[in-house]
Formats: sequence, C-alpha cells, structure tokens
Amino acid sequence: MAINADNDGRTRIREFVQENQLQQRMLIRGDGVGFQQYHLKRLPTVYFIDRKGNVVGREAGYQSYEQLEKSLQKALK
Amino acid sequence: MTIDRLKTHLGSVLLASLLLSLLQPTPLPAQAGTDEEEQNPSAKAVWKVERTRGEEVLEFEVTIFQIPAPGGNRWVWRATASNGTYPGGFPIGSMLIRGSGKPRPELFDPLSPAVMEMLLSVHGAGSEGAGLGWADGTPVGLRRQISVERTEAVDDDGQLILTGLLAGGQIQIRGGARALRLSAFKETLYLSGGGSLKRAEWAATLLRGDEENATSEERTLRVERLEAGLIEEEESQQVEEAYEFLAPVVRVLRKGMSLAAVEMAEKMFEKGQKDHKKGPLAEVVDEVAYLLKSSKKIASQPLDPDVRAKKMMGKPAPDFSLEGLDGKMVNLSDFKGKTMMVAFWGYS
Repeated sequence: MAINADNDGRTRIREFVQENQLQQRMLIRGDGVGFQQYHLKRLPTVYFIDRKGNVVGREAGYQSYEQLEKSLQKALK
Repeated sequence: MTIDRLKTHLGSVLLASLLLSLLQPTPLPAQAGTDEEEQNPSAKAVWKVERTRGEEVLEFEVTIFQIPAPGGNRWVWRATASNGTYPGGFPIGSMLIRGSGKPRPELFDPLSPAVMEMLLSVHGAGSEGAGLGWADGTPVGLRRQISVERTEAVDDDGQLILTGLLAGGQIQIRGGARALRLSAFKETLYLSGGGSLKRAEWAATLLRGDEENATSEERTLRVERLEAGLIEEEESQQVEEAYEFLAPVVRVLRKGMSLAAVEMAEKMFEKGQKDHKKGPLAEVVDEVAYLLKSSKKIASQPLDPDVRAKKMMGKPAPDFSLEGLDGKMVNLSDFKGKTMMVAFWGYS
C-alpha cells in the first residue's frame, strides 16, 4: 500500500495515481502515522512487513524497481 | 447610574482600575487615611469561554488571578478545555499588565491563541472609549480594527447593553486567490451598573473565495464571568509563590525538548514541588509533574529518526488506521497474514 505523508490534496494525489498508473491502495493524511509511529526522515520511505506482522526492512530514499524487488524477496523469506 | 455617568466612568478611569473593575463585581471603596500610592488589591475571576469557528467548537474555563507585580499587576491564568486539554498546550500562563497599553504576553510564547483572544477582548472592551471602534477583530481571529456603529440600552436590572454592528458594509480582509471578506460583525457587551463587564459576545461572518463561489464561515466568541472578587493576602501570596516556582519549569519545557533541558526542569521542579502541593495552583503543580514525565519519555528517544527506526526491526509493525483515497478507512491489521510493502510518499 502507499501512504501519502505530505498532506497533499486529494486532487493532487489522484493526478499522481493516474500519471503513474498506480495499482496500490492509496491512503491519505499519513503524516502523523509516518513521522511519529514510523520514524520517517525523508520521503519516500518503504517499509517491509512480513506475514507475521513484523517489520523486516526499511528503505529510505528513492529506490529502483530492482532494488525494491530485492528487498521484497528478502521479506518474503 | 445614568448612561452618561457610566460613559464618563468608562472613558476616564485609568487602565489599572479598569482591569480591577473587570475582576471585581463592585468598585473598591477609597481607602481613607493612606498617603502611599494605592496598591492594586489581589483578585480572582473565573470566566467561561466558548469559541466556534465553523464546525469547530472550543469551550473552556479560565481562572485569572490578579497579583501585585513591579510596575503594575500580573495576571496568572489557568485554563482547562472541556475535552481535558489546555488551550495552548500548557496548563498555566501569565502576563504583566503595566500602567498603560495592551497586555503584553511576556513569559509563555506563543500564548494560547484562544485564551489570548479572550483576555484581549475583555481588556479591549473596557479600555476603549466611547465612539466608533470599540470592536477589535481579535475575538473572531482577525488582527485588525473593525469600525462599528454602536447603540446602547439599559435593561430593567440596570444593566448596560452595548451593541456594535459592522459600519459601512463588507470589509475586504485579504485579496487575491485566497480572498477573505467580512460580511457581518456584531459585538454585544453586558456591563453591570458599576461599569464592569459581565458578559460579551462577538459574532462574525467571513466569506472565502471570489464573489461567485464564496463559502461562508461563522465565528463566535462568548465570554461570561462566573465569579469575581477580591482574595485574601494569603491566597495571593500562594499564587505568587507557586507561579514563580512553576514559570521557569514551564519555560524550559516550552523552549526545548532536549533531554538536558527536561532534566534541568525536573531538578528545579523536584526541589520545591512539595511546598506547592496545596493552595490555589495545586492542580497545576500536578499537571506540570505529568507534563515533565511525558516530556522526558519523548526526549529520551534518540533524535535521529533513522536510529529510532532501527529499533523497530523484527518487532510488530505499529498498527494504524487511515482514510483511503476512496474515503474508506483502512487498518494495517486488515492485512494480517500477508507480506506488506508500505510506501510513505509525498508529491514534491
């Protein structure tokens, strides 16, 4: 899923979703969750959570598709 | 008392005695036989405040103690909102009232906007003279003078009611893309026979956006004096001492959340808190104790989010509930049993 943590307006988020043809579930107003619960330092940041619900990875900053896939494979183990 | 006499009374008395008259139900009898400069007596007033801005409603009670201070008086106030929070985030605040001019927020910066509005409104209502412009935009959150046409009436109980209505139609507050206009404004002040303010109401209608598709917002502020009177010297002293004890602690808490600062405040606090467990500000002492504890917890965390995040690894992901773009609420726990990739992003 993707969480907007910058308090962008719905219209801007819709534009972004359309432009990039995103398929994920898009959640909004995630600044509190992001910065307080998930200790964000910069955007974007991706967290990986395994089947048991444990945090198993965190990638801060822009990631290429390959990098993300590698991290995801690790989380699936 | 006739209206004319009231007007003279309001227009001529000094600020200090005005503030006093706001705090007291009746004017002080002149002290006979003293040549010394009269010191303002200590007083206490409790006001009920209700503020609405559109859908948002805030209700709180503010207790103001007036105690002597060098060059004038000090107002020490404490306010608690109906939802258990403090307007402004801290349980106590203060301002020094000097011989002239508006109250100057001195110690706690920024003061709670709501309490500030209430204090400034009450203050303004008493200190402005007759004529136009009693109204000040402060009570409805506009930092500008608003001219009103005033009418006055006396009711059966001898209460003076002053009504001010926006003079000269709409006022443009702000132009451009985020245009803002004031389309209605009304203030109503209820003064007792002695000239002290008992109740006041301000209401404004604001229009946002260009003329064709403007949205309107109603704003009101109502203040009502629940009690007021002089306090004994002993109580005044207790307020003064407790205030002097609490002020530096709260100041440290406000200024910085570094662990060193919080520990410094804690040290100061532990030294004297026993002496102030009783008296008019006892509750505030308890509240500051709690505030210190929770600040310490936050300040003990490493500052760098990356370091804090490392501690999350291998541990259960904190659950959350957020609104989706489609308007439906989503919890992280809805996806239990699935591997999740959670991406936080921003447009820019």
